[in-house]
Parts: sequence; structure tokens; C-alpha cells
Amino acid sequence: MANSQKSPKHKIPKIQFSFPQVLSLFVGLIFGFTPMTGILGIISYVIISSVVAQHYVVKFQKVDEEEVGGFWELSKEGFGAAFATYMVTWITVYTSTHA
Amino acid sequence: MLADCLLIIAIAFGTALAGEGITWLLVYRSDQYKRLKADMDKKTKKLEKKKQEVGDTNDKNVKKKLEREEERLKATNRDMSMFKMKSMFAIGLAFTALLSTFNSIFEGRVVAKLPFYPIGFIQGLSHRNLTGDDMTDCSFIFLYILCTMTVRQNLQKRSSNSMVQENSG
Repeated sequence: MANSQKSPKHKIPKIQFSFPQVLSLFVGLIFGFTPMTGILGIISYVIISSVVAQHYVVKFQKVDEEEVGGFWELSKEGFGAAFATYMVTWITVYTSTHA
Repeated sequence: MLADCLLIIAIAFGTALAGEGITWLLVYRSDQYKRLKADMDKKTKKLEKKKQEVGDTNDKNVKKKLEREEERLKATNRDMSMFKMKSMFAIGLAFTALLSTFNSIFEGRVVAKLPFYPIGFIQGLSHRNLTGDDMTDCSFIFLYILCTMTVRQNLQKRSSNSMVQENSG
């Protein structure tokens, strides 16, 4: 009963918070080593993170996309923290390998 | 440069952890907060139950009663926010002082190399207190803000998840 009363947005955090963090760390490592530079690095990350996280939630966690508010809700959830994780990893790895 | 980078990540991690710890000590662990939280939960449940019982009624007395309940709930919520805000304000002041100390330690030092060319307003942060024209040089404050963003949000998410689990368990 309590669960059924919750809005779709309430269902997202538990499902999707850790995964984008791990993904950001991974992408940051790869882009830092490669090195991927410039605006391309940021745009590529945004595209990869939204598409892969979306795919993960829908295909592997078997969650109905519409039930949690659609593509944008899923992409927006935890984006700030994940983006910051990506930036820190990207900058640190790039600094250690190419600076 | 890498040593500075790692040191800043450690500082951000330490300060975020300390901030959350102090918040827990001053706010979440205090009896007043626990009492307010319990009161709030009780009132919310009561109101939801009443709303379900009543349904779509046109009875003015019932509606008035519900409105009164809602007002009480709002008042409790306000008290809780005020209590939290006072502690958060004190913590915020302490950490701003700490930040300015770190800022002066790293003043003029390039702590990292940015893999991108920052646009206008970001340059103000990423190149703060740095000499030279290379805008890909990164200052302490920019990296610190990014680290704090990631560490604090992760910590808050973990702590709120554990609190939810505690409450439901």
C-alpha cells in the first residue's frame, strides 16, 4: 500500500544512483587515459551515461521506463553527482598521465 | 601535480565526512529532532488515513477539520526545518572558514591540468588566483567544488538510504 502511494520519482533513487556513479568512474578513467579532450569529452559522456544507464535500468533491472517517469526522469536522476564523479576522474587521470 | 589532486580529493572527502558526521551529531541524533520526526510521521499517517476515510466529501465540517490537521502538519514541518537550518548554518560557517584556509594554502598553485578549455564564467573558478594565460590550468577551488559535489551527494544518498532502511526495517 505504501509503495503504491509513492510517486514514480520515488522509485528511481533506489534503482538508479550507484550505477551512474560506477559508470562515470569507468568512463572518466578511459577518457583520461585515451585521452579524450575538449567539449567532445563532455558531450560523449552525457550521451554514454544517459543511454547506458537507461539500457541498464530497462533491460537488466526489468523496470518499466514509463513507470519511473520516462527517459528524461531516468537520465536526470543523480546526474549532478555522476557528472562531478566523471569530471574528477577525468581530470585526475588526465593530469597524472598527460600533464 | 597528481599529489595535489589526490590531496584535494582527500580533503574534500574528509570535510564532507566531517560535515555529515557533525550534522548527524547535532541534528539527526538529537532528541528534539527525533521527537519532531516522530510527531511528523504520526501526523502524516493520521492525515492520510483521514483523507482515505473521508474520500470526496462536501461536508464543510470535515473539510475544516482536515485543513486544521494539514496546518498542524505544516507547523511541525516548519519547526523541523528551522531546527535543521540552525545547525546547518553553524556547520556551513565553520566549513566556509575551513575552505578559505585551504584556499590560501593552495593560492597560486596549479593543482591539475584540465582536459578541456573552460568557457567564460567557469574560467573564473577554474583559473582563480592563478597567474599565466593557460586556461587549462586548474585551481584548487574548482577541483574542490567538484570533489565535494560527488562525495557529499554520495554520502547523503547512502545515509538517507540507510535511514529509510532503518525506518522500514
